[in-house]
Formats: sequence, structure tokens, C-alpha cells
Amino acid sequence: MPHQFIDEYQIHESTVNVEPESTISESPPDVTTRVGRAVRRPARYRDIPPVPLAPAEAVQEAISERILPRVRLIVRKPIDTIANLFGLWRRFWHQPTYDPDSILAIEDLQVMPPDPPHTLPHISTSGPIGTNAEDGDINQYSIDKITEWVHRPVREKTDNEMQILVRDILLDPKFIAGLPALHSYSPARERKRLDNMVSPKNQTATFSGIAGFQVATVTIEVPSGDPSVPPFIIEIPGLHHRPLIDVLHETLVDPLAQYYHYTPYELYLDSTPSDNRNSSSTKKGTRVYSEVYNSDAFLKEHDWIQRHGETDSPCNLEKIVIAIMLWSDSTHLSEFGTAKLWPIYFGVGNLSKYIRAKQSMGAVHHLAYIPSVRLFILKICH
Amino acid sequence: MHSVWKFLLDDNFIHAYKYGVIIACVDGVKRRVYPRILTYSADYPEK
Repeated sequence: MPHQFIDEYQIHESTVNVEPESTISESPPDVTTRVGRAVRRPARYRDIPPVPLAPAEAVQEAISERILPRVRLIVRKPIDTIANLFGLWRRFWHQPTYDPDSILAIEDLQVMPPDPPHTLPHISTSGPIGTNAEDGDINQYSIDKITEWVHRPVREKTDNEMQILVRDILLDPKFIAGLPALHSYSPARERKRLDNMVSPKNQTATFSGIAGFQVATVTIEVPSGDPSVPPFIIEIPGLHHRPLIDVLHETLVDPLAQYYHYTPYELYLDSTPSDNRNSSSTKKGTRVYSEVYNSDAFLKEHDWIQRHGETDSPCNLEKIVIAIMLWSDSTHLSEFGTAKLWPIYFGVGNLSKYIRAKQSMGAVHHLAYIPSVRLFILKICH
Repeated sequence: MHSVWKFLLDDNFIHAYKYGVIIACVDGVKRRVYPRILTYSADYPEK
């Protein structure tokens, strides 16, 4: 049952800072000689005392009259929830249209959120390693499936992972058909094969299998070290990237999107004893920060969009903010053999960190792979 | 590293940033989505 109370005033005003009138203080008098002649001190003993900035009125081009400070009054009627057993309650600045926390069952809060309703991520026939097993060789298919299994991101043999092994690999008819080829399976040979595929000279071949990725060449300027010499322009090929909009679309049609918070809120902890809590009319609490969607940054952006969000066509639809989170760093070499890759990952702040951090959820998307500058330089230096 | 962003911040994205883009979300409701970059981290969580 939401608790409503009235009118929180926020006043934003612009103020004009006026510097106090000041006089420039004199430096200590110069020494006088015995006969009274003033002698200047040597330069190193002459102090220049600090001088404050000139007052605002001293500016020549100043406007003749003072402008009244503009006062902007933002009146909000927040929607507060009642405190739960632990004293946590929420304050929404705008009416929330959708509350993903209400679809969380007790089990979700104790262990980890349940798997998304559709299915677990399948091992596809053309995986990130680019083993395009669709074309031809049925013998290589089974071996490739094993290789993909080896390189799955989740290392533990969790129930999910075992399910994927049995359902997507062992019971795959094509895998079964290609079983005889496994007699000659050699892990070392497959690893070498993978290294060759992902090596720099083959990078375009590797990633062309992934839908949506384009390749581009990045131009960078390298300073020459000499101000009179212009910087060197170096072009580094091999930037694999996807349009941000495409990834954005993907994140919103992802089954995980049912857990997204579209309306941010302020989270408070009321530490008074639970009996006295919800009875009084005034809400108490200390602000708690735990997720992107209860942070000030998100609140401000969302609020701004609600009040000033421009549209390119007349629109009645709800305006929401998607908080994009980006990570980039070089990969751990053990995953991709000896190749060097620098991925940029894309995550959504509207999702709880407890869900997003769980690898098996597939909550983090691949946005781009930055080519290694060092490798490129080494190549061209030969 | 940041020349890379010249490619990623394409016109479509800038348009969506300013005016939002209408997307049908997973619950079937169409919303006008304004992407905002809130964090950029120079590392990522270990596997």
C-alpha cells in the first residue's frame, strides 16, 4: 500500500558571487640605509604577496543592471513504499509502470535468480570460435562440438552445464552421426587448430561467422615527440564491431529484460524497531545505494527524460532510460590460445547486479573487439 | 583506444540518444528507449 505525502520543494537558483572589496597590500618597506636612502632589496628577497581576484563590478563589459536570479521550482510528489521486514523502503520520483521485484519469488532472493524462461543458451553450430560446422564435414562436427564445450565460459560442472552437455551435444543427432570420428580425437591437435584460426592473420575469417559484426580499420595519431613534426598516422585494421543500436535491441528482447527496472528509485533503510515503523506519518531512513537503478545518476537522467525528453515524432509511449555499462580489457590468454584480443563488453544497469554478474545468464553482450596495436606494430616492423 | 569510439558512436546511436528509439520490449509493451552510458570500466569481472 503506497504511502503518499506531500510536496518536497527543490529550489534551484543561480547566484551571483560577489568578491569582497579588497585592497592590494603593500610589500614590506624596503630597507633604508643609515643615511635614510631607500635601497631596494635584492630580487630574491622581494615578496609578492597574493592578490585576490578583481571584484565582479570591476569588469568593464559588465551588464549595467544586475539580473534577478532565476528560481526554478520543481515540485515532486514521491511515491513511497512501506518498509519491508528489514526496514528497506523505496521512494519513486515517478509512478513506476513495472516492478520486476514483484516477480521475484523467495527462491530468487536466496540463491540466484531462476533461468530465463525461454531456454538456456544453446551451443550453436557456429559458435564464437567460428567453427562453422554447418558446411560439410560431419566428421569434424562432432570434434568441434567437443571443442566448443571445452571453451564454454562457465568452468564448473553445474546442473545447468551438465544439462547443456547432455541436451545440446550428446543428444544432438549430428553429433551422434559423427561419433566414429572421435576415435582420432586429439586435444592437442584441436587446440593448435584453434590457435591458427584465431591468429591475427585469420581474424577476419574467424569473426565473420558472428552475425552483425563489421570490420573496420582504426586510424590513430602517434605523437612524434617533436613539436615541429606532425604526428604519425597509423592505420590499424581488424576492429570488429557491432552497431550499438543492435546490441541495445538485443538487450531489450532478451528474456532477462523482464528483470529490468525501468523506473529508478531512492532506497532507504529505516532502522527503527519494526513495531514503530509504518505507524508514524513521517518516513525515516538512511539512503542506501546498491544498484545502478537506485543511484543518483540514473535518477537524474530518468527525471530529465521525463520532463525534457525530446522525440522525433509525436509520441505517447513511456520514456525509459537504459543504463549502458561498458567494460574493456585484454582477454586472458588461456581462453583463446595465443591470440590477443581486446573485447568491449556491454551490460545493462537496469538489471540487478546479482543477475548480471552471473556468467551463465548471458547478461553481458559482446560489442566489439579491438585489434592489438602491439601485434600490428610487430608485424609491420618485419 | 578511443579512436575506436568513432566507429561505435554512429549516427543511429546519436539519434537514439537524443530522441530515443521505439523498441518493443520483452513484455510486449513498446517504449521509447533513451540509451545513456552510465559506467565505463577499464577491467571486467574475472571469469
